[in-house]
Amino acid sequence: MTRLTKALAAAFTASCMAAAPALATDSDPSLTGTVYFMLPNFTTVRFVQKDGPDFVAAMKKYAPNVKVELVNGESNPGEQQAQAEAAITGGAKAIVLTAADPSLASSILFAADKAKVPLIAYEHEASGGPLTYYTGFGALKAGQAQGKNAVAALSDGNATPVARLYGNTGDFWQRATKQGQDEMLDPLIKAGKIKIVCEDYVPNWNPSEAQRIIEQCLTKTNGAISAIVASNDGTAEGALAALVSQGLAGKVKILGGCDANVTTLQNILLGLQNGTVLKDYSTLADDAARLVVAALQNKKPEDGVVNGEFDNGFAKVPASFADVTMIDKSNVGDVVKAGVWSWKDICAGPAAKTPECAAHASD
Amino acid sequence: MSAEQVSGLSPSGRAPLVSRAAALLAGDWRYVPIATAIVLIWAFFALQNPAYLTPRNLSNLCLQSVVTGLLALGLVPVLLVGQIDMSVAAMSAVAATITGQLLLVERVSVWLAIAAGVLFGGCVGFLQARWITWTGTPAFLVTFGVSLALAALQLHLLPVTGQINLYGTDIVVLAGAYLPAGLSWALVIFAVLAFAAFRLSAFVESRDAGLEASVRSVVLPTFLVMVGLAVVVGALNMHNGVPIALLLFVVPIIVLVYIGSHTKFGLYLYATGGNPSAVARAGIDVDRIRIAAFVICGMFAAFGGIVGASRLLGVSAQSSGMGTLLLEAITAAVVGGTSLFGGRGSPWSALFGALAITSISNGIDLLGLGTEVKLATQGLVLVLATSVDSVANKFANDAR
Repeated sequence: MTRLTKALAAAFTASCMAAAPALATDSDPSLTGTVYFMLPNFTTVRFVQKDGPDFVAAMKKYAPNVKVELVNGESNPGEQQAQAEAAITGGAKAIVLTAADPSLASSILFAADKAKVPLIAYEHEASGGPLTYYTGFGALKAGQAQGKNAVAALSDGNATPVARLYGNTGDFWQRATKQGQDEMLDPLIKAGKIKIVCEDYVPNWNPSEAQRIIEQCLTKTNGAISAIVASNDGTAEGALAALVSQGLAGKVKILGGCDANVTTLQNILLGLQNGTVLKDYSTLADDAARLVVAALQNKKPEDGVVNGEFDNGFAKVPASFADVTMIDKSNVGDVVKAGVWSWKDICAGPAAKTPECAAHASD
Repeated sequence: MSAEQVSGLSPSGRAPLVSRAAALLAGDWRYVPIATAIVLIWAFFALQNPAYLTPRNLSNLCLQSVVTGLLALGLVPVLLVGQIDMSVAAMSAVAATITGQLLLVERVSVWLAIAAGVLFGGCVGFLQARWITWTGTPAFLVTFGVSLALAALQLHLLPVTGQINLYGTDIVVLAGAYLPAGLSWALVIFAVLAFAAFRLSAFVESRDAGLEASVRSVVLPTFLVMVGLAVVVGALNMHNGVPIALLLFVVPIIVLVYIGSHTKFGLYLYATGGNPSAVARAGIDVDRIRIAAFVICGMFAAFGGIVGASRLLGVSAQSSGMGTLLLEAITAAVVGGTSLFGGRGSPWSALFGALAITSISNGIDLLGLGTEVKLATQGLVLVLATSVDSVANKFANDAR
């Protein structure tokens, strides 16, 4: 071997290693059968639009001969249970479950366990039964990011009046995001820098309910609030609608947010909302695929995939929490880079005239 | 048989007090219970938090009632003919989606987009009713099935982003604009004069027909309407003004009240619900009356959805037509005094009913009482209102 070819070979190896992801689950063509991805509903658009296709793509990468079936529980836990039973009867090798109702999934968990079908809970908590793995973005992390975002905007205040919108009473996301927010906000509240003048839970995270709650907060305070901390984008959008109808849009800060909704990204570009928490769905789908492959191979997942524990009320389950990113006006492009939305999706309506959109008009 | 006719009967001596009270409540006094309820609700919440009775909150209350109210208004003719439409909430969501997409993607004018949405509502109402009258399937089941199909249609129509953002478009005027103070007072004067003229002509007609009539039947109601309107408009003008959305709700009510009381169609509408076989024997096509009621209902549901989208500045599967909107709309119509058993009620019941139940949710949100209280109250109000309606219906039947 000449020195040249040796050098080339070395360079090739090095570049391969640099290009390779930190965790490389090799493609395993020996795995066969069908894996079911059970989506919760059609109303939370991301599951059908993003998570489903991303998971199919990831499985193709790691286990090309495994077939992936997507089924949708249509917001109905009973329907989802019937689908799970059908999947188990149909010889499912593994089930990835996003529960239609996280607190009503235990019968599915026990059915899968009895049939020895590995079950990975995906994003929604599935409580009260045995689980093989849990993977999700970690609502706690999202809540902490929201809290940090709020603290950055409010830390030099003095009894600044703030309204807080929590999620749907009692669901896992609501509890964990609130806990994350509290960690960041409590010191400010104790120091008297901010004062929570209104706080309420938003039934089913419904934006119309959030709108009415903020309208009532403006009534209660006679319009004197400086900021709203919202737990997701839908409720933030409802809060903005309340502000717009009272001529307060842009005057009252909207902080927090989560999901990187297109409407919210447009509002961020227009200066109507401060930021949002981005969940890069492809990362989560990739994690789920790695966990499925490990379960099918009956091996432990490679190092680093499992990075925590999730307590679903029945057992402490090995969990893979994916990272979240705080998006504001300066890094809306990260959403595009993550493949969640394109600049064309975002730059519609009044947002098209913002400098950020003008810079990407040709994208 | 309409409520007025029922009240004319006097059962021979048995329970005269009850029947007399029932007669009054079915006639001139029919808005007394709901008005009393609204006053009590307002007093209760105002005692808890004085901010409840401020111009700002009155403005909120008006805007918050409009969407539920428009859906309830559409339900009134359907309830009058003794039917029900469970698809109104889903319809409102699809119409909002159609209008939003036409506005943003097809870039048609705002009026055309609204007209298309409302027309769609009317068409679906027609098809549902044609099916119901043709097959004889209970309306409850057909419209419920259609509401699922409509929810599917909405998911199909929404863009890949799952949302339509209406911020900065012309349509936000519907729910986001207010009348100038001068114009609102001019409208008050016009409304009071029109009302007085209306009562006067009714008085003259009665007198010429040799019926018992007094000038008091003109002066007293006119005075009450004048004071009521002046208080409401004055309060609203202390905040942002009279919301355009309120006019978009009240003007159709007046039109429907007129149709109900002064046209043949209105007469048939009430009669169809009261006694369909008698109406059919009189040579009236009952099916056509029922179909017309569903068409009106579909159009108002669609319009309500469009106003709702204008208020929320957007449309999504999560926000539109979801949650308790359907039950709220039915509750509003029934709380306001329109019977589930047909033949009894008025378009005004949509206004009073929507105002009553929105006053409750508005107050619960103001006090921050939480989801449990909200759900429990909504459920109990529905049970209470429908029970009162059922008992009233029983008395009306006994009186017959």
